[in-house]
Amino acid sequence: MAMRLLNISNLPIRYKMIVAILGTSLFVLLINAVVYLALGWGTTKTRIEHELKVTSQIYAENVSAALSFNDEQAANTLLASLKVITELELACVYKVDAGTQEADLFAQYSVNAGNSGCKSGNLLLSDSEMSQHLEVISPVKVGNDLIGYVYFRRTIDDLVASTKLSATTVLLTLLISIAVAYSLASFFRRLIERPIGSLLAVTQKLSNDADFTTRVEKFADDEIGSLIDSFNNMLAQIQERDTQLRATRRELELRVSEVESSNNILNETLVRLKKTQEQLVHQEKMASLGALVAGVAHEINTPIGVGVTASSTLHGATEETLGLYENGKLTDSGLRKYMSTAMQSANILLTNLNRAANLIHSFKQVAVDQSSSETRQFNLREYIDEVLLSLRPRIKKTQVAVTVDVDSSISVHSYPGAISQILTNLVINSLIHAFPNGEAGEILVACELLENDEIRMHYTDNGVGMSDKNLQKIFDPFFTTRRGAGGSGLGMHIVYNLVNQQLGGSIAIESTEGQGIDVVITFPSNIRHQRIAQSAGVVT
Amino acid sequence: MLAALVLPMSVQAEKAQLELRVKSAFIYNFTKYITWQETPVNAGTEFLRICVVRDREVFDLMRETIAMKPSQGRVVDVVLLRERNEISDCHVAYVPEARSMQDWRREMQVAGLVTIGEGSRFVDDGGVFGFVIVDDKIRFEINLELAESKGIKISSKLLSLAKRVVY
Repeated sequence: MAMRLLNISNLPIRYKMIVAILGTSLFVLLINAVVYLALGWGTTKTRIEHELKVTSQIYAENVSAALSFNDEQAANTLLASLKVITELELACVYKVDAGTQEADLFAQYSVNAGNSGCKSGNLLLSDSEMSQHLEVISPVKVGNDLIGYVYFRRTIDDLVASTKLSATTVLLTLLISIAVAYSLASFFRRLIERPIGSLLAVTQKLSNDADFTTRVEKFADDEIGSLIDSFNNMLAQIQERDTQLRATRRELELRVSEVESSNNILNETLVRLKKTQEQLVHQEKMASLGALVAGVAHEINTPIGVGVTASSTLHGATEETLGLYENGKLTDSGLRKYMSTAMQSANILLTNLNRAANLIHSFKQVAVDQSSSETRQFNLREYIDEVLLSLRPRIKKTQVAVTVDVDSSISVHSYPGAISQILTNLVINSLIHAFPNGEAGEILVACELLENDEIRMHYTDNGVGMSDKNLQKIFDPFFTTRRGAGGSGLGMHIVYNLVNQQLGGSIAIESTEGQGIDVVITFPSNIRHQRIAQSAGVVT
Repeated sequence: MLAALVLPMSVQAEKAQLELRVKSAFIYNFTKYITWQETPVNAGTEFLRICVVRDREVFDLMRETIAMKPSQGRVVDVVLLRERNEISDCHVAYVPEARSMQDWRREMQVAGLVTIGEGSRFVDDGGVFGFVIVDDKIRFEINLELAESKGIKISSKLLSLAKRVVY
């Protein structure tokens, strides 16, 4: 049963509809037919039973006198009149003996002449319901006295025949109804099958071609019509989205290609920028070297100038004394005065030339350090002093006092050029940015040797300080707050790179606006140890 | 059949007695199929009187056979009729074969009285029922005209059993 139902559920809709309509019709008609036939059978049977009963009662009434008077002939004559009831098979009249109360056969009638079916003795009805006969027993009474019985037996052939006729009619009606139902179902089937079929065809076409411009033809305004409407609406939406999607994709592709070309341009720009940056860094180095040279020239100018003055004084005194001598006017006291002047001038010359030589030596060292990238052993205090000396011409123009607090015993093996550049940049930054309007201030450079053989340098000023926002960008290349005033924005970037890359250290800047700046630079006192330790650390 | 079994000496007597018993039964049964018109005489009584005209022997036998039997809500009472004036109380008057009705003719014509006698002549001569013997069987004839004139209704069932109905 379940398999069969399953098969039905897999049938095409048109067969399902026909099966449903025909099945329903057949079922209903069958129920009707069965009820009709059963009802017909039942009522007809009840009716003929009743008829038989009434007939038997009438006959019992009529035969009572014959029984009373023991007139068999009259009883038989009466029985013979039952011939008109063709279905009556057997009729028996029993007489009840007044004394013994026993019933004796008195008269009988049989449709088959001579074939007596009447039983003698006690009367009992056949109890079989399926019997081909109907039986009835009616008492014969005169007044209140029971004087006998009448037994009628009737065939139900007529009932069977009429029922057969009814059944045949019902069957014929059923067949005609089924035929009509089938043709109606076929008609209605088309009503439903056509729109569904076209819907199905369109969906199949859609899944094959993905052509969303197709629309399903609508046949009627029923649920299927609504379904088709919704489907078409859906198709329209899909079509619209499809179009939008295509447009968006095209746009996206365009954008991607644009982005790619922009990227290429950007990359090129970046390469160019890096080149420019390198050039600028180089230029900056050169510029600081230039500043150094200017400083050197300025520092040397004084002793040289003094030397020139002394030598010209000596020259003048010598010429004067020589003129006196040639005129013979040179006096002893005059010679003595000249000698004193000459000695004094020579002393001044010697002192100032020595000083100039010293200056040049130290400047030469700083300049060499700045332009080369060699490591060497040096005294930190002395070196810082030398660097600051080279900056003196710039510092002297301001009211800033520079204090150095470094133990003179600290010796460092590192890149002095890097330290020189770092310090130069920091000082110049302080002079330009921390004290922009020539305010009086202090700069403190303090170094200490940590236990782990690192140097920690504190560079502090008490200038205007800087905002957090600017502090975050201070190491970015080309970041400057004074773009128009000649700042390249590379100074602190160079400082950062020198600390990190050359010194192998780290730099941190703390500042609050209006409260100066505190730069902490930590670097190893011996770069070789550091390098060895680093490579060892890498190895392990 | 019964007659054959009894002794030859008493065969005739036995046969006569049996015949009388059957006739008694017939008379009793007649009462069940007859409707009397209500008259001052028979109304209100609980007895259905069957009167035997002047024959002691028949009276005894009939009383033995059918007396005190119920019929149409009444009880059968068998009465021996000796005098003419006694007849007014009777529903049924039986005139045995040995008796003639000639001298009682007037009394017999009273309304509501069912007269029963022997033979076709009794019916023709103004009796309602008359016993006849046909094929050794007791049958009866009815004078319906007379019955109707006397206000007696006889059931059609009874009429259908009659050998002859005078109308």
